[in-house]
Order: sequence, then C-alpha cells, then structure tokens
Amino acid sequence: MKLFVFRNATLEPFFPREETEFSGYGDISRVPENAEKICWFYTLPPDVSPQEAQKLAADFLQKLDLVLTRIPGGKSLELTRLALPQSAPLVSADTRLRDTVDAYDAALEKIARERENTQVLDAPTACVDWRMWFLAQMPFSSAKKSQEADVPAPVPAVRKKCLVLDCDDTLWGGTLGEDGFSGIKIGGDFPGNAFTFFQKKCVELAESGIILAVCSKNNEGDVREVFEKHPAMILRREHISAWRVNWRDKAENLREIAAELNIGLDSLVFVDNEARERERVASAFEGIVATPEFPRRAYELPAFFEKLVDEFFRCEKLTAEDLSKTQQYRDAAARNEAARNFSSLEDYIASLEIRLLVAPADDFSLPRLAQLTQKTNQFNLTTRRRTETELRDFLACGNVVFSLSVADKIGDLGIVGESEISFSADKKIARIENFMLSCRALGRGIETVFAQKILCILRERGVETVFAEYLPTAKNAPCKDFLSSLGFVSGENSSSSFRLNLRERDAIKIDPIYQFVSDE
Amino acid sequence: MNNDISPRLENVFKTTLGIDAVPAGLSQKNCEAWDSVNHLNLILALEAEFGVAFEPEEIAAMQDLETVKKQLAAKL
Repeated sequence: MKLFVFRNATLEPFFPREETEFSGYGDISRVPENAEKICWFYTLPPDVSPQEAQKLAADFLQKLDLVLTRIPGGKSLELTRLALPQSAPLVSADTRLRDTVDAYDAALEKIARERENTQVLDAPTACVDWRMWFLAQMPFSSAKKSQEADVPAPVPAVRKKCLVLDCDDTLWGGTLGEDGFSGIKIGGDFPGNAFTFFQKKCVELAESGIILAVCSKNNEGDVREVFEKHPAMILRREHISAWRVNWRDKAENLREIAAELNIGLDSLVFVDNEARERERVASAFEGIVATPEFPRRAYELPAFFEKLVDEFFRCEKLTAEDLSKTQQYRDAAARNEAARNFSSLEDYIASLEIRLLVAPADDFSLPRLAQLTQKTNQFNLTTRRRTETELRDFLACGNVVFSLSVADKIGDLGIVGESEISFSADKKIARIENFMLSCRALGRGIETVFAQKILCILRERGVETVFAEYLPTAKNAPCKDFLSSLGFVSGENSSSSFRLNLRERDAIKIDPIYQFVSDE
Repeated sequence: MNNDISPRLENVFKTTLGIDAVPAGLSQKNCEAWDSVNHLNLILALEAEFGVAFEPEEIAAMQDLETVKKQLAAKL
C-alpha cells in the first residue's frame, strides 16, 4: 500500500484506487505500518453551522494529535487544509466559519513546521454536489468549481421577519395524512436527510431572529404530534411562534398569523411546495407576501435555502443578542482548546462522553436496521442481508432484534448497530444470527460494549448458552477475533461456530466510560 | 440498444470496476468489485463519459447492467 488516508467522508473517487487504503469514517484506531505515506484529510460537512464547525474542527485536531503520536517520525505525511463551506453566511459579518477554518489550517502549518517530511495541501476547490452529499456523504463533486470572481453575498434591502412553512413535502417528504407518523420522510437516508437539512437551516434562521410559523392543511393534532414526538424532527414546537394547521384557505390563515405576530403581511415569506397554494396567496395579497418557487427535487433544497437567504433573510451584522451568543461560542472554543492534549486513545475516547441506547426494534428503527444489514460490510459477523419484511417475520417468531443508537459530545450518530437473536424453545439457548456496527461508529470500542450489553440482557432473561458465528468475507476481517475477545470459545467441529456459557461466567463488566441511556 | 454507446459503456465498467469482461448479466449481486463505493465511482464515470446526470432514485435502481443501459439510453 502506498498511501493511507485518514478521513471522515467519502473520498474514494479522488484517490487512485489500487494504491490507496482508507480509514473508517472518523476512525483513528488503526495506524497501518506498511503505508509509504499517510494523508490526513478531514472535511466539514457542507451543511455545517458555525457552532458545529467549531466543535468539529476541534475534534479533528484532537484526533490528528493522537495519530501523530503513533506514526514513526520520518514517515511522509500530508495534511489537507479544511475547505470553507461554500454558502455565504446568513449574517454577513459572521466570520466564525472562516475563523474556524483559518485556525485549523494554522494548526496544520504549525505541525508541518515542527515535523519532518510533512506537507500541507489545499483542499479541493470542487463545488458541492448536494445530490452526491445526500446520497453518499461525498463532500466534493468531481466537477470543477466555476471560475467566478468572489462577489459579496447579497443583502436584501429590507429583511423579512417571518418564514411561514407548509408541512407535507416541504418540511418532510410525503403526506402525513396518508403516510402516517412513521411513514413521512425525515432523517435517515435520502430524501429524508435533505428535509433534515432544510429543518436545520430553518432553526439557524430562527436563531438569527427570524420568526417561524407553520401553515398546513392537515389535522392539527397529527402535525403537533410530529413536532412533539417524531424522533427525527429538528424543528420543534418551541421554534414555531404561530400555528395555523387546519383545512381553511391559506390566505386567511396568513392574515391571522400576521395579526397574531403583530407584523405586516409584507414581512412574510410563504414556503409551500404546492404551486396552487402559492398562486392563491400571491394573488390574494397582490404579491405583498413573498411566495418563492419551491424546488421539485429534495436535493435542490440547499440551493433553495441559499436563495431564500439571499433574497429575504441575510443581514449585515449581529444584534446585541446574537453577540452574546458569539461570546458563548468563544468561551466554548477556549474550553475545547484547554481540553486538547490527550496522552492516549483511551483518554480521548473517554473524553467523548459516548452515550449508547440499546433498544428492541420498533417501527422507526426497522427500516434503518434493514438498511444496515444491507450496507454494513466491515464489522459484520455473518453478513446476512435482511429486508424490513424479513426482520418483521423474524420478530413475529418470538425472536429479538436490537438497535444501537450512539451519540457523543460532538453530535448524534443515530442508529449504527444491529443484532438479531433467536431462541431455543425453552429460551435457555440464544443464537446471534446477525451482529454489526456501521463503519461510522468504528474505532471507539463501541462494538464491544454493544455486545456486552446484549449478553447482559440475555443473561437477565435466563439464557444459559449463547451461540455465535463468524463467517469471513472479503471485507469483514476487522471482526475476526471479536468473538474470542468477548470470551466465546470456538467449536470443535467448525472454526466458524462459537459458544459462550453464560451460567459459568462471572457478571459481565462494561467499561464505565460508556454511558447507557434508556429509552425516553 | 444503441451500438455507439455500447463500447464506451463497457469501457467505463472495465476501468471503474477493474474487470476484464462485461458479461450481459452483470449486477451488483454477482460482481464483488461492484460495491457501494465503486457504484458511486461508476455513476460519476458514466456521467462524465456521457454528459448526463442521474436522479437519486435512478442511481439507487441502477444495480445491474441492463438497468444501467436502460437509464442511460433514456437520457441520450
């Protein structure tokens, strides 16, 4: 292997295939010894907020520090600068993103001055292909950025005060009345992740002083339930200042919203995917209420949001209130800086405050769990692919499917682990049919605590013996010794079959740096 | 299928997946090299070669050679 790339996003298309190996996403647990050159290539997600960027960049540098302590001094090293997310800031004077990127780049240059054989490289200048981002977390497209001069981002002459949002196919994909609470598309894969993006950006607008309102033709109780209880929603009731969820004319609803908020109709921007509703509102108020055209494709939401900001919502400066937020952000930056130097990977992992939730599968998690079984290659003991229907059938036979969700102080990784357990008729013997962890969560010891937690649960249920298998594939070598490390003993007849006697084993101890949270 | 695109299409498959031949029934299921990352590479290579862009739903559906040919032909 010529080159090993530490990375946190999909970068494969940008490196020669035969000569390059990649770390897992954000995984620094393995530093290969046989690489001729090491490349450090971390990127901010294109939809990053200024606050998140600061947290992420600090985390990247912590990781880099740890990697540096573990690669031999003379080894050739390339460090890639951070690419500045392309969209112009909501507040023109807000330099936090640029400051974060500059500080990160300066830290790389300092490393390069102090370490031999180290180069700092520019990030690619390619533009974001949002389609590929939502589909595959690929932060750059292969197309080159157009050579436009950097023009200052436009600031509207008058800033609008309120964004009025429709719900179905605007804040989430699908129709709540037809698809139901667990059928609407928000979170997870495309297109749900594009709507998550849009909601996240609406929250950023709210934090910059824009009032949010909801105007939707739906049953009010259904919509409120989504805002209160849907686990993937970013927008919550507290973000929404006025509600009109009913079956009445939207023009009338807008009139009431403006009156309730004590603002003029000319302060409203009405966002609705239905052309008919936009036309009705535009004609009812003779164009006083802005009714921007809504994109046809969910992956066009970033461009749409950019246009909303350009035309209606960008402002020059931070208000006094925003400034106090900036101060908080600076304090946080100072704390992170103080917390930076860890002597070991274990200390670093402990500092992440990893929280895990192991729960039985439900209607929310099943689609994601089926998808995990389809996609997970590396840390997958048996690589048995399942559809949602197969999982439901498996559950119907009295078996158990566990989901693992993980969050840490940097952010929420969502559902990243799946395991299927079947039982003998007397429930004394359990068999691990499937056990996997997404590559996004590898390198933090999570696979071990996930397995230990499952074994604890089985023990509490009175299970005496657990059987498991390791079926090698071209890609799942990372879990080769996993079962032995948990105390399983390989069978006499077959090297792929393992067993663990829970009755004879002492209580399973789980490393206390990992916290388990319970559902709700 | 259009004879003009056939050699170009096969060439994209060979280079991207690193395979010597492109049999008619080629699919993600029977080709080890056609994994999720190479699927992405394949889409990008096809888009560059033919100057087209695929919708996310199309990309997800393009799991075998026949479907790729159909989707591509529909855009040319």
